[in-house]
Amino acid sequence: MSSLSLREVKLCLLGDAGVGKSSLVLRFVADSFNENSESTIGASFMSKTLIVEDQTFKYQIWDTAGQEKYRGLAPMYYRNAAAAIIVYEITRKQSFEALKHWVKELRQFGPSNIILAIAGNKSDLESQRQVSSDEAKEYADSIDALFVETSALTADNVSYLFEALSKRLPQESIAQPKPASTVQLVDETPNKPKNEKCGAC
Amino acid sequence: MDATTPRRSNAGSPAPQSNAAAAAAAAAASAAAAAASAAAAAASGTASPASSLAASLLGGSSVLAVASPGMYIENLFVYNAIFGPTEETEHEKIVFYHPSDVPLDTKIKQVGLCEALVKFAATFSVDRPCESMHSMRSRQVFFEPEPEYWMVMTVTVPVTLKTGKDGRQVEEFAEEDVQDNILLTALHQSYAMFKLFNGRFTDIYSQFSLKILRHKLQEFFPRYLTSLRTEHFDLLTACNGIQFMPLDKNTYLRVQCFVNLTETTFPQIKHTVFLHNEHLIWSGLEQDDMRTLYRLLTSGFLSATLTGSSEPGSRTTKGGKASATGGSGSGTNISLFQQQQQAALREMQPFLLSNRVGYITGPEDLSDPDTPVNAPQLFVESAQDGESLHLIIYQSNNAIVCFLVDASVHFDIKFYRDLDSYIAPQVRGLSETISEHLAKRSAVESHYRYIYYNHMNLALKSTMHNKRQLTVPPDVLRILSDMRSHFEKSPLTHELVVKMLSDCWVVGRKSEQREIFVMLQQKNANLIEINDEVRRLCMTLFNNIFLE
Amino acid sequence: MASEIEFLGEAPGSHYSGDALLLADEEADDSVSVSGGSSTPTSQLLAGGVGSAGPDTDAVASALQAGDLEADRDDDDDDDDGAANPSSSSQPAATGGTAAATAASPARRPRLASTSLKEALRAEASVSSRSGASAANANAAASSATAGLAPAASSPASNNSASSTASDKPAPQAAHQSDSVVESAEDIPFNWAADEKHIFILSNAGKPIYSRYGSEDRLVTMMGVIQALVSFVQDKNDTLRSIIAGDYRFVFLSKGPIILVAVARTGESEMHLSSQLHIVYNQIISVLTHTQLTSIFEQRRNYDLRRMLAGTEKFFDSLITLVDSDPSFFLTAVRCLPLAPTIRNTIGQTLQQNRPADLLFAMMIAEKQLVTLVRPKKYPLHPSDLLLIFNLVNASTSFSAAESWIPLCLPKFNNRGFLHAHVSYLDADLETDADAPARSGSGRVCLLLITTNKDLFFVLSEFRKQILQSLQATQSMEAIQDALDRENYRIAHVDIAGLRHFIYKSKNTSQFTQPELEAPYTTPEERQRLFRQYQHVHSAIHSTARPLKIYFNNGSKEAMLGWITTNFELYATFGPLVTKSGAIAAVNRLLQWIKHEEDKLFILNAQVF
Repeated sequence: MSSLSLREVKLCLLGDAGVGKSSLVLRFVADSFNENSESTIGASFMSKTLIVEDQTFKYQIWDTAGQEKYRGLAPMYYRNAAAAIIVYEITRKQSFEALKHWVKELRQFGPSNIILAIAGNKSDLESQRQVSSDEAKEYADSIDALFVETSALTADNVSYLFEALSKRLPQESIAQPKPASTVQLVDETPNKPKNEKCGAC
Repeated sequence: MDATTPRRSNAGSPAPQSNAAAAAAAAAASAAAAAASAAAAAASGTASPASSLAASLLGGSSVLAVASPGMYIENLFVYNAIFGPTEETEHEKIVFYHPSDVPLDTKIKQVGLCEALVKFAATFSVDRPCESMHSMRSRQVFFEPEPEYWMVMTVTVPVTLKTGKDGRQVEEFAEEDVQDNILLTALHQSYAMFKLFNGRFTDIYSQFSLKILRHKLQEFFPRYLTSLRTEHFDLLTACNGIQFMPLDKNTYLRVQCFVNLTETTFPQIKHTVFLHNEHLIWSGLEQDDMRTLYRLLTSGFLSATLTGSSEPGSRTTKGGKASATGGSGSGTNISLFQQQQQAALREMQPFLLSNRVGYITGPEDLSDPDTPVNAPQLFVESAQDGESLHLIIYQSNNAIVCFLVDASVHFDIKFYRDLDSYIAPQVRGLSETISEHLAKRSAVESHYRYIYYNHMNLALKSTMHNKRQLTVPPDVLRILSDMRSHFEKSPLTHELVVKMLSDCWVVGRKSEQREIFVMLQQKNANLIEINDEVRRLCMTLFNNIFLE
Repeated sequence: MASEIEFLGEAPGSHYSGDALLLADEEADDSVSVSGGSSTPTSQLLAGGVGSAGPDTDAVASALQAGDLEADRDDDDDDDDGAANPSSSSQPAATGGTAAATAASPARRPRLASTSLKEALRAEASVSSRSGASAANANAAASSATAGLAPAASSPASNNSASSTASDKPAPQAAHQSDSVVESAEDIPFNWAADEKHIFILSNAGKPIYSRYGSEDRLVTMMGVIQALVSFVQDKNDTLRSIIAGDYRFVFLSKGPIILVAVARTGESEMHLSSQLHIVYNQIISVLTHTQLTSIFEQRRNYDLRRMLAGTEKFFDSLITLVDSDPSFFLTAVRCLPLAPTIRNTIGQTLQQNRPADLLFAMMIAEKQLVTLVRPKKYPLHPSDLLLIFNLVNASTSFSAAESWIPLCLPKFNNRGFLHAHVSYLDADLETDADAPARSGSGRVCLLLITTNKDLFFVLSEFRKQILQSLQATQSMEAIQDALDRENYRIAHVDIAGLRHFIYKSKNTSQFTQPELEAPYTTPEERQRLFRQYQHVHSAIHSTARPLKIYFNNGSKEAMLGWITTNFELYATFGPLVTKSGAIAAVNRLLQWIKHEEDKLFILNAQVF
């Protein structure tokens, strides 16, 4: 494959447990779907190269676990990310509400120039819809985020999501030297979420 | 209450047993003369059956059956939830609780816990109820002998203080030294014994009242528990068997002949049991009755029963001179003396004193036509409808003959005199013959340490016990008990051979209904040699030892 | 950032009786603290997980209300009592919280079984009120028409908060819907006798945490009873160990803020069931750390721990299934992939070469067998920690799709902090640059790189590539694949007449070996029976009060010999007709065979640095 320029993009997926983050990534990376997808433990890392308008993007994707107990680890994954996809499922209102908190957290503690995308997954389950497209779109616009309704099951809009996201990336984004092998020497987690009262160590 | 001096210390000299006698003597110094004489009587093992003093000392006390330093019976209670359906009447469900002097609140809590345990277990184990509860400090066993009546016995786990690394004392609980199967059997036995003397809970309740049931339980259990010796709880307890006397055919037929003739001559006698040296030779009772009667005759409880005057229903014969009962044991102030008295009683060998001839239960004095007759009524399965069977025990040296006589037929002192003169020479003769026979064969058996048990006829034989003393380390018996539980649980297993840390070998074998357990202290032996040794033992001993 | 590994000089409480540490070449029982500087993952996790001020909590705050009310009241209660009375926790809920009240009021006409349980609880409730822990308690108990409903009544309420906050389950219109769901769930009688072994986990406050069968929601009453039983015995300064009813054995383990219960009719000993509960407990610790578990419940006695364990249930399920078929757990030993020692050494060196400074443990696991383990000389890895890792790998299919980066606590190593594990399959194609589809689930050889440094992922990812290249260069991957294809050895290879099967544990290395099961152990039932038989012999021979050297069990289906020496444990199965001399001859030959095969079957030389 030839490309004029290779841009490495660090991407992070966030969102409530069970909304289909891993499935989206699997669909994007391997174009497959696993019926019996398990909960992600910690986080998993995959990469995928995508060519959009003659530009080659190498996505380095952190697929994070949505469970409450891993929440504290999230900053580790989004703090150097160029983009974040926050996922909810259209069939569960609560996951949409949770999404707003992720946005808030990213705005507060994430990189200032991070590109946001909102994915309303499980669009194949139209009959069980609880979150209307309009509502989600309106919210996405209000925070200047990309909005796409996707289905990891049917592959609907999945590549579109990443293509559109690629286009949103600023032309001259910080060329990350060689992120794949960067050792994070930064000791302090920057802007950790505030609550530290339980710190036992 | 009249403190009687022993009247029946007739034959031979009373052989005082040193410790108990000393204790009793010490106690006597500070006690009333009458009481002291009774104490001495008890200590020397010649307690008069009619002596009612000891009964009053024993009855109603809350002294527990203290035994080994570690394991003792913490409590034993009977409840029936039907009697206390509401929270206000909750205490009513406690039918019996020993010790009686714990706060009602504690009793209710205990019973509540047991109810919860039983119900919890029943959600899973639908057809078999809760049997035991293990905790660090105690072990609790459960038994539902009759519908809705639950008996629960709690035993403490032996504890030793060990000094830890930091110099602090740490309690160490020997939980595995307490074995469920043994405790369960002990609990079942206690019920069987109660039933033998009193009949079923439900029958007492329906024929009399709850109050009478409570009373009978209260009369029976404290005394029974006092006679229990938890340090003797071992595999023998769990087997719940009967030691039979192996006899040559000729002698056996003579015993049989004697029994038949006696029963023909005295038709009031419904059943007869013949023992020699705590070994059973002849029994006309059903197996379960016999097993309980056997336990009565060979445990300390008989002496407690006989000295106890207050056994309900045990004092009267039909012709009825009910002797003065000693009252239902006041137990108001338990002095040091009383405790020592009890200790003395417990130390006493279970009444089988050699050199003794005459009635143990029955009339006290054959020469006195007005003598009180003490023949407890027994509730046996063998009884026909309408029969009221009373127990008469007759001893002649090492031989014991028990007659169950139907008291619904009128009989008086003449019966006892006739019976006495009829059987006395015969029993004496049989006893002598059997003793001679025994002397011949005793040498053969001493070599091996084993326990044999036959489920079919309850035949039990142990050379791991001498009288009540163990001739093997206690751990060996615990391993045997483990083995026995395993045989019960996994019917596929028919042999277990283990080598202990001490290099002692223990072998358990099961064949059909028979079990044999052998200990071999041959440190350097291997599995093959041990196997050969056990084979030899079985060949030499079990071809002709039991009458089967 | 340098990894800091420091001694804390405190041995972690071990209930295992002096089991040799895996591959330990020195006597070491040191606990190690792993702290990656001031901001450890633990504190981060706690920050997000427990606190009420976490970024997420507003979202669920409303749904939580009932639970919060309960928790707050409970705290007050504790203050009043001075001492926490566990059974009191349920009572305030009966009168408090509107949600709780409404949940309780449709006083469900209980089916028979639950009636009796409630009655059982009634005794318990009245007992605790009578003991007069606090006047408030007594009032609460008395004021509810039947005190018996108090404990049970709290359950639906707690349920509410439970299911509505468990974020992975759809629970819109929380209070309403989930309540009705719960109600109907409880109305369906559950056949407890149907399954052979249940495992329950609950909090000291009686809140369900885990159940092997059925949903925990339907267990609220059951959990209440268990909690009552345990706390009742505890109140007497005693500890409830077990209950026996028929073929059933109920074993209880009270560990800090949680209670674990095994209910089994498997014939397993109390010792084994209890040790299984310890294993399950360690699984919780491996997800949460001891520190976090403790602090969660210190802050809120009524916390619903299911929230924190969400997503890890499969590890519990898998673990509980494994202990019923895999001797590893009762032996506390692992099995190695049979490999020629030279190959294994090469692989071990590969894992050592150019290893990143912060790497703590590196290991390869293939189909529940250890290929190699590399570790610092100072820090042996306890076999029970390794078994948790085996289970982690075994229970999860998601690791073969990508490189995973997971926080992991190894309880024996250090129960207070997280390590970080880079997990990947070496034979699954993760090189998606070439647009090749990832063969999800196809991997067999799993590589784990464990570090104290939470920022080491990309370093380890590079290291993995290097390892893979090196393994391919030395044909080691092929050797491993071959060994896996070859399947385990058969008893025929051992060639000893009469010997059907055996398990041999090398005590010094905490490793064991066994041949494949063959006839007559071909049906699941016969295999299970044989496994139970091994368990029985193991249990009898390891009795704490009466340990044995030899245990020979002769049965009508087989004879089994258990034999313990200072160096090994051997369990050998023979046909039922074997003679004692035949068995002894066979065992002697077997020992010779094992000696001969030793360097293939076991990792004798630990790869240490």
